[in-house]
Amino acid sequence: MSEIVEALVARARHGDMHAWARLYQDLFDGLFRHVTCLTGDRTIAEDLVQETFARALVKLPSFHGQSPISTWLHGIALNVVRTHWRSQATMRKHADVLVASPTSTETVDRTHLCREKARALYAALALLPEPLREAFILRELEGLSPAETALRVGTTPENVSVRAHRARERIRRELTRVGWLSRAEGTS
Amino acid sequence: MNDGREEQQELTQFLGDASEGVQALAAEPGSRDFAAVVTMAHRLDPDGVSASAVEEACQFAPVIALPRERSDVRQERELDDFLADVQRHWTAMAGERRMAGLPLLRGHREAGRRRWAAAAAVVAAAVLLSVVGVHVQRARKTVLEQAYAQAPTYVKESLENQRQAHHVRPADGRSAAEEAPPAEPIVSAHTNPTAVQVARSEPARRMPHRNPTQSLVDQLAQLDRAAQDAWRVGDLPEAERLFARITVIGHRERVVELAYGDLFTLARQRGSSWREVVLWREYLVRFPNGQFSDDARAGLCRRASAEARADCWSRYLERAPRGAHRAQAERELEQASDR
Repeated sequence: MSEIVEALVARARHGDMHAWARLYQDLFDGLFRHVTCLTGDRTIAEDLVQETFARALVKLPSFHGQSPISTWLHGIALNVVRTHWRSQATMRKHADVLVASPTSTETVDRTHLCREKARALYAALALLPEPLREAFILRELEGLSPAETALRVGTTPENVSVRAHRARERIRRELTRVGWLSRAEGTS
Repeated sequence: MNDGREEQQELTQFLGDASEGVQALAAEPGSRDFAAVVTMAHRLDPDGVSASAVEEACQFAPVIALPRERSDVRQERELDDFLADVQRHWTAMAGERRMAGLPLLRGHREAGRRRWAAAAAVVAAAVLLSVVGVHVQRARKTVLEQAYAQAPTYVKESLENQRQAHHVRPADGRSAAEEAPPAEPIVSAHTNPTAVQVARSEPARRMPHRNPTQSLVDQLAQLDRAAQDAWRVGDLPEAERLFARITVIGHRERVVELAYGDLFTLARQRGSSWREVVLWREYLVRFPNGQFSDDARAGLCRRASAEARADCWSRYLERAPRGAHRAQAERELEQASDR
């Protein structure tokens, strides 16, 4: 199938709108999953994926196929998400979520509980610097290797590991502070 | 003594749950709108992405922002019923063929041809009627009865089973077609039945060269390439035929679903609204949760008769409370309740 994708890319680069439409349909799901993992919000992800494809369409003439088109698109998506993260409104929205402390979790069903935990996690992530946040999401939530993550964010695998570790520590502290995790003995 | 391991375990457990939560969110298909993408690209770079590109993109699937056609309500309803009949016929044929076993064995090929010729005759008669337009109901009844009378016993039995099955409406209000299990290949009723018949019985004719040992995936990929090439050079009927062929020989492969997307586009480019309706129905039977299913359902609701429209949108909302067309669905239901 990659041969077909390559042919579609070649045609799309020459302005064949139908080829681009096919690529859009074919690559949408993977990109949507990626952006949902980055943002933790389906509705926002839908908008950002649309914007990613729009920006990709504009940039398509400069794509020369050195990497698979999905990798190229994921890179554009990451930039779009970064811009989104920088908007103050987004930060405020997540900060609001952080205020909410967990209620009794024994009565809620598992699906709901997982979603609530995801919300709390993204609220904590919103407080992290972007490089830590990206490294953490790609490593811990998307399950990419340090090498793959490094390729996506443009750094070394070692640096990715350090960032992901720091992010994890900060998240643990934040989740403990708001009551999602229990405090260690001897701490106040 | 706590050396931090318990804290890490607790965090790991938390992250596992959170990850499960976000993966569940990401697993549900997102709304697509290719035309909106191109429009945005045009806004970002009006010179790089022309206005004509935006216009062209509006032709592609999915069906968002499809204008509702003005037509005689009664005729629309009759056409709707008629198309449902066609769909049932094809479902019956497919079910019969599934029971007979797939693929057709060499020794049964002749029998298979006859069966499909008979099936194609039933549908050919039915499809012909859609063009006639006037006196649809009466003519449809006559021709279908004649075709039915000439059909082999196994077809009649299959149709009878289908008819009985359709009298029992699923408890959740969804149509029987939607409830049908993903079928084995259903012949695309939008194509000329004769062409479909030929495609089934003489697959080598006018088809890309095929190695008999080639896997189905390779065959589908080859057909897809040929269809794309045909489209690129402007041979739309050939492209349509090849995409239809993919839907016939394929099962649930991704390329089959994408072929439906292309067939939707081609039908719209031709301005053939009834073909779109037939394709949407067929697609929903095979891919009830597919990537175009939201649009296909919305498209069917837009084309539903005035009487059936509110019910259709209501079912749409029931099935897809977060569907891309929910705003329209809510608007339609509000208007219906005001009437």
